[in-house]
Amino acid sequence: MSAPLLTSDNVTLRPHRQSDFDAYWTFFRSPRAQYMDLPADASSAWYGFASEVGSWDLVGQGGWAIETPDGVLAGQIAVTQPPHFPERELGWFLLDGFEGRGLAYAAGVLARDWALAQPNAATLVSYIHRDNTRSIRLAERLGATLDPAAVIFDVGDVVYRYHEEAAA
Amino acid sequence: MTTTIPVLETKRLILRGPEPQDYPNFKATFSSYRSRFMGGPLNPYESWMLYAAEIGHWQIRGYGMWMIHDRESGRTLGMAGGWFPAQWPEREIAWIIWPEVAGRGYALEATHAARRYFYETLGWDGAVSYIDPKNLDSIRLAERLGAKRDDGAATVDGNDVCYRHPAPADLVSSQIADGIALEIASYTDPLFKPEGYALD
Repeated sequence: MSAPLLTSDNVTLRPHRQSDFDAYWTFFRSPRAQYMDLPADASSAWYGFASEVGSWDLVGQGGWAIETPDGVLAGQIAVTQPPHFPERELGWFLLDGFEGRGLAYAAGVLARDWALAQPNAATLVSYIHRDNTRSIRLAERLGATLDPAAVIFDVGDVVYRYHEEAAA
Repeated sequence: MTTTIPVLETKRLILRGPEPQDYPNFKATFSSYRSRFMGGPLNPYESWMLYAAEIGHWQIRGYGMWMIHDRESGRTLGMAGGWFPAQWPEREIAWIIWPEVAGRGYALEATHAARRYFYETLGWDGAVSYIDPKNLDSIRLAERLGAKRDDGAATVDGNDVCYRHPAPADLVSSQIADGIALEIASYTDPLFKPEGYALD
């Protein structure tokens, strides 16, 4: 399967295309990616990118490209649980120039609601670097609450937990 | 945009897309010393990511690496196919065989079928293989496939050697094509069958 197309008035989540990659690679080399686990080189970054696509076939979840309503690539959002993640995660990034327009929030609503509606009843959290105040703020707007008891894989992270009643 | 991965069949093998149930075998080899020339050994996250990327490669590029299965038992033997991530100068034909079944010609048979698919069905005009110069088994396989070292070609990162495969026309009614067919056939029907062993 490929990523399901999810749309709202404010944003589109669609399957990745090869043409998304260059913008992501530019992002990973920019200060905007300072709180993320960074790939060592372009091919490692591409493997990560391709894994967000192949993950859909492998485990029925994965990544989407975030697009503005007029079809411009704005970032990535993913529901994923690689082996070192204790729980299923909702993660995101926005490319330079797309912040402050509500795109990440609109994308987060779509992906969160999709994830919480899946029949596997798995929990959903966001692992966020404790200094990444913008993403922490977004998780809170999406209804997630800080869970100090959650297991972490990176001591620099805090864990925000989503609740089904938050999705409406 | 979902790519349906074609199934290729050879005398001994069936090549199918990588599937979830094949992952433990992939992980075993890529967590081991066997994968030292393919960026390994990998930790559990890297191994999982690469396997997901093997599947994603098909969706993004429209081709990729097949899982090689034994036709009779169905067990997996390794992978072979096309590989073209970022940073690769040209489309690569790549292979890996699980260590416990190496030396039986599976990589030759699978790679030969994959290359023919790329040439005849997808219309590729050529391909390369990027090989670690210490990986003598793969260099020998590249040469058995008719590939020649191309020192003028760009490499992935300078730590590898580019082997250039014969062009499609060079694999039609040619000595190399006959040689490959003969070698593949010899694995199931050896040219020289020992009839016994001298006992002193």
